[in-house]
Amino acid sequence: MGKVFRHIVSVLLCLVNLQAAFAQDIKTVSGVITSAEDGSPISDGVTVYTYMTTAEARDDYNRIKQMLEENSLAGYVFSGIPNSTLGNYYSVQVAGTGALLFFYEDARVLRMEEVKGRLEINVALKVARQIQKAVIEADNPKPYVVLESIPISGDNEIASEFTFLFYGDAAGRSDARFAIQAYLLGEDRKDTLQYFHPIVLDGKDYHKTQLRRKDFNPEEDYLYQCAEEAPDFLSDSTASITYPFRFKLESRDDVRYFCYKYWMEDYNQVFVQDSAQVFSTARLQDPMQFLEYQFDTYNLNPDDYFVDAQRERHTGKKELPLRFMVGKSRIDPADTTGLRALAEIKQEISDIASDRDASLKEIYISGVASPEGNYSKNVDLAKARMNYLLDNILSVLPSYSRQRVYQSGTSRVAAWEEVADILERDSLQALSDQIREIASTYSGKMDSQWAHVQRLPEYQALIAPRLPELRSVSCTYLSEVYRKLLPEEILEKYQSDPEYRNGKKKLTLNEYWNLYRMLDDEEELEGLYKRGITAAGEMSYFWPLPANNLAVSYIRNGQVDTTLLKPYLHEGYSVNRPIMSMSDPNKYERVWNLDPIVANQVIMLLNAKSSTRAVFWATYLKNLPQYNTLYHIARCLGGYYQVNNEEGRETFLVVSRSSTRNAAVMNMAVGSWANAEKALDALPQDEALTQYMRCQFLSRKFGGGRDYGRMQEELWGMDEIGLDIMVSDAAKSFLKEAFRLDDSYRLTAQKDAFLPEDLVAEACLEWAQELKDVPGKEAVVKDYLATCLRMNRNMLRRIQAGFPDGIVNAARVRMNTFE
Amino acid sequence: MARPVKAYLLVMTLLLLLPLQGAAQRLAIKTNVLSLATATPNLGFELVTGERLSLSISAFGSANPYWSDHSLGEETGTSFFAMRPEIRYWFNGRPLTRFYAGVNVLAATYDFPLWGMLHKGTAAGPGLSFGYVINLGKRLDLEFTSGAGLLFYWGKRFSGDTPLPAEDTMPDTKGYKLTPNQLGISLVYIIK
Amino acid sequence: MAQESSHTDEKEPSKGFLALKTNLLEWTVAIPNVSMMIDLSGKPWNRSVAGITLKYKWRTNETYVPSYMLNLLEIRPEYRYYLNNKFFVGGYAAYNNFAAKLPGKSIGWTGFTAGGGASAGMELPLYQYRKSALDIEFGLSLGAHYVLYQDFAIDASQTGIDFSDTRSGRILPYPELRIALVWRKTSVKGKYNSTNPMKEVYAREREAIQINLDATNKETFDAMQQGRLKVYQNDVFQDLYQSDPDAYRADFEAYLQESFVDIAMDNIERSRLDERSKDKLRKWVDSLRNKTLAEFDKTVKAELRKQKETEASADKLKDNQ
Repeated sequence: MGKVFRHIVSVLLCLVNLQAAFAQDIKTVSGVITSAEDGSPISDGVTVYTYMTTAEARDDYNRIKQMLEENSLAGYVFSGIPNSTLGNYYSVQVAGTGALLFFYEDARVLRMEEVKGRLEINVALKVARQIQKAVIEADNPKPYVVLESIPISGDNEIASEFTFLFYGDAAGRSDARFAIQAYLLGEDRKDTLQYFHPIVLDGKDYHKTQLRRKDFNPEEDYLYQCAEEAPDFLSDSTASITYPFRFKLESRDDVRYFCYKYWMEDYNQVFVQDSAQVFSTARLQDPMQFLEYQFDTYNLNPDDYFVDAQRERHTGKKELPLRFMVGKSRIDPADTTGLRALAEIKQEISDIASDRDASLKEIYISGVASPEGNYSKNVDLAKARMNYLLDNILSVLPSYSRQRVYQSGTSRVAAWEEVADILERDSLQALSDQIREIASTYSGKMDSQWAHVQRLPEYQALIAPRLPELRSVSCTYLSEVYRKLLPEEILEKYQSDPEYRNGKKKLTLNEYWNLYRMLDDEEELEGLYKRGITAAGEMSYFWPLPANNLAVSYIRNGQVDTTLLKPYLHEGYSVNRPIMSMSDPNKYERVWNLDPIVANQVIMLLNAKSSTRAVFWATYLKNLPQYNTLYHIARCLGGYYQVNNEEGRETFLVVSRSSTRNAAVMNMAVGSWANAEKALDALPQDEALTQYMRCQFLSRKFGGGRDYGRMQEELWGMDEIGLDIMVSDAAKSFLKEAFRLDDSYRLTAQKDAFLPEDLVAEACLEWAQELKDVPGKEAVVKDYLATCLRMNRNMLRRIQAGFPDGIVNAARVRMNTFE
Repeated sequence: MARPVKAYLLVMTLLLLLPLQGAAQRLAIKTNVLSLATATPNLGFELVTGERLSLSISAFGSANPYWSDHSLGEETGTSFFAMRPEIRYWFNGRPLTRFYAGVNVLAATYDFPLWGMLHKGTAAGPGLSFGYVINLGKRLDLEFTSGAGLLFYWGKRFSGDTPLPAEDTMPDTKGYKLTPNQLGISLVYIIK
Repeated sequence: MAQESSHTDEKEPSKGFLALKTNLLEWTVAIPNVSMMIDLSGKPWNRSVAGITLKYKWRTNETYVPSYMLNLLEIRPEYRYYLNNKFFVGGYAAYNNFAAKLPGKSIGWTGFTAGGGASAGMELPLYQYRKSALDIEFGLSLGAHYVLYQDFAIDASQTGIDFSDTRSGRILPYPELRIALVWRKTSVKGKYNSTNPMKEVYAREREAIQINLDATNKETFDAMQQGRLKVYQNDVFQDLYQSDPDAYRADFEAYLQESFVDIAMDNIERSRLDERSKDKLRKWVDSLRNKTLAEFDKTVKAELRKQKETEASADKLKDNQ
């Protein structure tokens, strides 16, 4: 009778839980993210967005998919809640009727999964993979590739496209296939860091007759699928194809080699193939390199965020890795880790107890025991252990307090299915299946299950060692703090009591607020800010003041942390968007996107060289006049200064009026050479930067002495043969002057793709020759020679002619180290 | 028809059914339009067996077509039935496309009057063929074929009086010829 | 499809010097045939090809002789020259042993023919494989053959042939139409479009020599035509000429040698031509030198005469006064 009753009760309990689950509807959904091609984990770069309804998710999916197809450079705005992944594993809270969007930005892959009540959703994302072909030698003239200049946005992101021209032996044919894939090599030119999505163009006949081949399955052929995505068929009138690409650098100094390889084949053989490097990131064009700007930091008004003394509830949680003695409820004295954890939590509770203003309110301990052995004995043992623990932990409290603490200890015995889960995780699928079978055959009869599992031959070797994993104890406690002190008292307490200072005793938010006003020392304040952030978090209280103050402090110090202000920013809401509290219509539950916070985040992102994100957030500040400069500078650094639309024009005007140097920079960036020259003339001529910018000006205006058309327009009447020499001589002399005034411009010139390589090489060589006989400049001479060689290896002869061997060899060594 | 020929034809018919077993292989069905114009119904199957190989089996025949010559008597007319399995090698790299060359075996029974002579018997022999296929669409081809080969024959022939004597009394004839044995413009449809 | 002519003296000797060919049209009428072509020279600019064709349709064994037959055995060597990659012209000779009979007629002919003619055609690349290539050739040969034949008829039992004793001879035109597949190690594409680079070098050297000579001559004869028998704009030589014409001529010879012949010979020596071409050029330079000297003599003599006449008339004037 008792058994039946227990059964009924447990079934009813299950139903109740189910009911509760539907009422809440929020589930924890988790899974792993792998690559569809080979099953390898994708552990970096995927964001999982959660949506309460599938309709919202689908809207976002369609919209972002469209943006991806158009290669739009605008930021990707999702209205769902973003979650990052832990390695390639994710775990999110989402409604059972909702959906998830997986966005792998670097590979431009977007995937939608409707939850539909599932608790585990594993996704395999189709990421571009390397395409291979056995290649035959062909010594035919190679078609060439045309690449427009590669500006780098402030973002360390390089996005552009190159054009591949079809002619000669690589002319199109309707019975041929053309495949091209770009890839990124690392600094050593050996490791391939990334493959970009390949472009495959099939001729009409080639594509059609593929289907006639034996055992050809179009669905499974990767190249066939890629060919289907192509806009048109390959034919002899196909002139060119453009290949867009984008990738991110970790830092501006990363050296990457962007290369491509292609082949063309007809029905019988590969008849032309080649691979080449398009450009290296060692030299880039950054039009905003010399833009000068200064940002203020933006503070929240502390009075707006005053927190009065109140009862504050803090939640503390701790996992206790305890090892109990077998069959007993006492802890194994040899378990030092467990005992230490226990001691820590006892200390925390004791601190709360000794703190006059704090009191422990509730404590929950829940434990899980492993299933081996007699079931009912296990249940009793688990319960006894929990009670023992509760007693043990609360023993540090005086009895008065102890009586006022709500205690709850729950325990359960793990099911054998959980053991099977562990085995499956460790890839022991067969054994896991066996245990599941036992569990389902004898469901409800725990002892029979145990008996059968114990008889398995692998029990001792494979199962028993894994059982301890199931044993866990976790402890959660709720404490309350109430303290009301005057500001002077707070300060005094803070300065005198070391436990307040080092964080052992919890401060109330009111105390933090006061201390922020009263203290000066930056380092101390930063520590307090961090504690304030944690404290507010424990209370789930919306208090952006410490976070913003910390951000301001970081910006002033030059530290960068773009995640600091993220909890206060939400992409889907406009600036200063309040969310009303459910209970009190006069109170705000929280305010998203406070404008000083947005501004500080923009500044932080600019400092972190994430200018695309910076521009994205800057648009939130568009209509607020006090952020005008910030808004426009951010747009400038993000590349939005072209004067072909009204907004770009405005940005251009605002930024170029902000300083003479900026006028020069902006005018050069858009090609207004006359205005740029005027601005350059207005800059102090004895500064290295001015001289360097003049050299850059000539290079950009006349293409380094190669833009004959323009030179003729400008300098007509001059003998054509001498034009390019004249221009490049002038540019060289400016560059040398810059070197003279400041050696660091050598590196700048080395990395600046606006200056032709020959120009830099010649200037370095000439300057090195001038420095040759100056005493004390030997190391510098070697540097200049090294730069000269890096720009143009053919200069070696001339260097060898002009310099002693020792210096030449040192320069060659230096050239090979990646500066 | 002679018994061994019947057996042979049965075997060939069974072979015709074989192509239907292949799973991912391409199977095409075709008919020679030129033959149809001469009132010779014909049907062929072609199965892609390799990167550049295909197996083709065709059968054609006729009984008293409109151009039959009844000069030797009303009961004489033209009738014949032939089968031709062939292995084709496609030069250009894709099966069922452009040039090919093939090796085939022709087997037939015949019964027709020609130039005042009545011929009846069985023939078989190897041959070479070549042709060109134009892809008209994803599944449709136009095929031009031609070929020649050796034809070994054995049978009877008779010229002269009507009414015809009994077959056994007709003189025997046998030998082999080197002749063209194929000319066609076919429509090919790829079934799967 | 037109390709520029390329100088290919750096290329290895071509791999595809051997070609196998078969005429599809003849296969259509059941005449087995095969043909082989070989490049005549391994040099890349070679355009001459020799070939031999064999056609054999033998008499098949049958109980009753068929009422129509076309049996032949033909051997046909030929030569062809490729005008460019696509087109070729050539000639052939053929020996043909045949037996032919039309079904309607009761008389057939058998005998042999021999003759020759011209051929022309076009060869286009078809497919390229990894190590070989297939091309298609369209060609037409036309010639005249001398036929020596005898009649034959099928005997009464229709199992044998009776030959007549008389032989007759005729000359007949003999056409051959070809659509052939040609197999080579390399495709015909780009194979026959090179020229011997040495020819161009030779032509260039000759041109340079001529220009040099013209420049030299121009200086000299310009000077003479202005009536001043000065070569180096030097009065000394005028006097020299007047006093010692032989020395003047010797001077001119030396000048010609120094400013033209020596330089020309030096250039020839340093050029990439073979010895024979160099000798040819040297001989030519010598002949030019001699020609120039002869012209010089003629002009000088004429000038001398003119001067003498002027002097004589001046003297006459003086005398008359």
